Amino acid sequence: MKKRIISIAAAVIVLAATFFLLQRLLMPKYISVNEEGGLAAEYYDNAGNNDVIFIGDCEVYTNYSPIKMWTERGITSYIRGTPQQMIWQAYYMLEDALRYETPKVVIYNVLSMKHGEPESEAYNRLALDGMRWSSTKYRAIKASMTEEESVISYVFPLLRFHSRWSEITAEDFEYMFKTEPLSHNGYLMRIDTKPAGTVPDPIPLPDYSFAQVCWDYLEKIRSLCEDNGIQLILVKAPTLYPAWYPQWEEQIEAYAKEHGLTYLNFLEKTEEIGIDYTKDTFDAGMHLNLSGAEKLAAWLADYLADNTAVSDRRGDTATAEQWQKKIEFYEAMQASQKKQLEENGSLNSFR
Amino acid sequence: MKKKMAALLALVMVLSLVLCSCGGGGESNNGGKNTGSLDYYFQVKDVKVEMKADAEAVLKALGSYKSSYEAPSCAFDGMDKIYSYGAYDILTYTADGKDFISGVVLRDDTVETPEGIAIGSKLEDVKKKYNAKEEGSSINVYSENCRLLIIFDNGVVTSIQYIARSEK
Repeated sequence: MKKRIISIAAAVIVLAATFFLLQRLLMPKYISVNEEGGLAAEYYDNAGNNDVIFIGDCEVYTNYSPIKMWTERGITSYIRGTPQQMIWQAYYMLEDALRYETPKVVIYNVLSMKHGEPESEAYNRLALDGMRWSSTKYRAIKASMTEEESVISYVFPLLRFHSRWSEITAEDFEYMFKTEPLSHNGYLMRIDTKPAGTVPDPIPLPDYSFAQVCWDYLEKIRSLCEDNGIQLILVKAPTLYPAWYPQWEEQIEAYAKEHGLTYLNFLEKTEEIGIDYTKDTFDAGMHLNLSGAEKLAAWLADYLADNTAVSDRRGDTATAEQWQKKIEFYEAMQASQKKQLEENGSLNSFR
Repeated sequence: MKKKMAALLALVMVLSLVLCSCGGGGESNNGGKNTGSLDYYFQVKDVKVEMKADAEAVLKALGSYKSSYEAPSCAFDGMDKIYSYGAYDILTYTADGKDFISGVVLRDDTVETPEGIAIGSKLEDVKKKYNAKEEGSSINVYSENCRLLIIFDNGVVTSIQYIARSEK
């Protein structure tokens, strides 16, 4: 009887270990392809001690440099942004972050209010696979899934990624149990420049009203912040494309006014910030490059220092030492990208 | 005991192979020309612009555009492009390294649909031409590859958009 129990236990262990190893091998590593997929998981190595948390889509992780906010005003911040992050994902990213820390300010970029329903399994993966398991992650999955998706494929990603067996490269073996940091407290650096030229006219919409589900999640974000004594600030990044319609602006302005929230539409402040779309964007106005992200971060750092409860943390030795390492990583990546540009004329890698 | 372990390992290997060999999944939005004869299409002179058609051929036939804009996909490969011709915009998407038509936006009343509807047309004419009912401030009609969206205000058409239907 005892032998039988041992053999069954051994069998289960072998089966689980094989499954685990296969899963580790076949899951995307986000090292040289779709690097943004690593952003969600990077947070956990930097959780705690952040006075400001950003949530939102690429309009947060490409447009604000937390390192600049530190060097300018000693503000600690982290960007919990992921590609095409839906507002329900933004809410759960915040709820997840609150398991580790309570920031003084949360900054939500309002562009994702335009997405009223789950759209893309591939983008869901980039946001959700990197989250640590918790009831928050489970609810994030339930809120995010498209019709074709199932919770079980998030519990066991092997069920989703098994078809990668034919795409396996040396990188999949090398990074089976480790990864390399890509971001600077959630900021994804790009130093190259592609000036903005003629931006297409906005395409008219049949209805400019934001979906009720978006309002519901914005309200949940606001309540979560209120319950935790956090100041919520709404922002719209200064990106020229995709369009930000005046009708959307009116709705956000009205919401902010109704709830006494600060709303900063940076499209209206580009001159004051000093953004030059011939120099400060890497993709013709969709996202800012490092130069633009530093200008925006410097302006925002001043604003936060002067108008919110965040304080200058540079006098805190332990924190300053942590951030010094971040600065060194930031400068090394900047140098690496500069070298790539000089040698190739373009960026082949963020790192 | 050894036999049982061997059988178990065999089972694991079979399971692994089954998991690894069955297809499915994938992130790419596979494009391809699929132009059913009943599809709605836009036409400029003798150039037919059909949804999901090879963009290169269409753009070549249309001649030079006034401006263009490239919008790379966040995270994934792929590039949405917008070519502005003044009276209309042509939108494309990339799949498997090739560009396909993803949309057409009519910008003024110098162009019209093959059914004779232009910006400024009356809502009643649209409803008759397409045998369709309005939903709020728009009319949607569908064919295999195309959603034709017509927006109106005060009973007058203000926007006409051809939109490639997704693979769903």
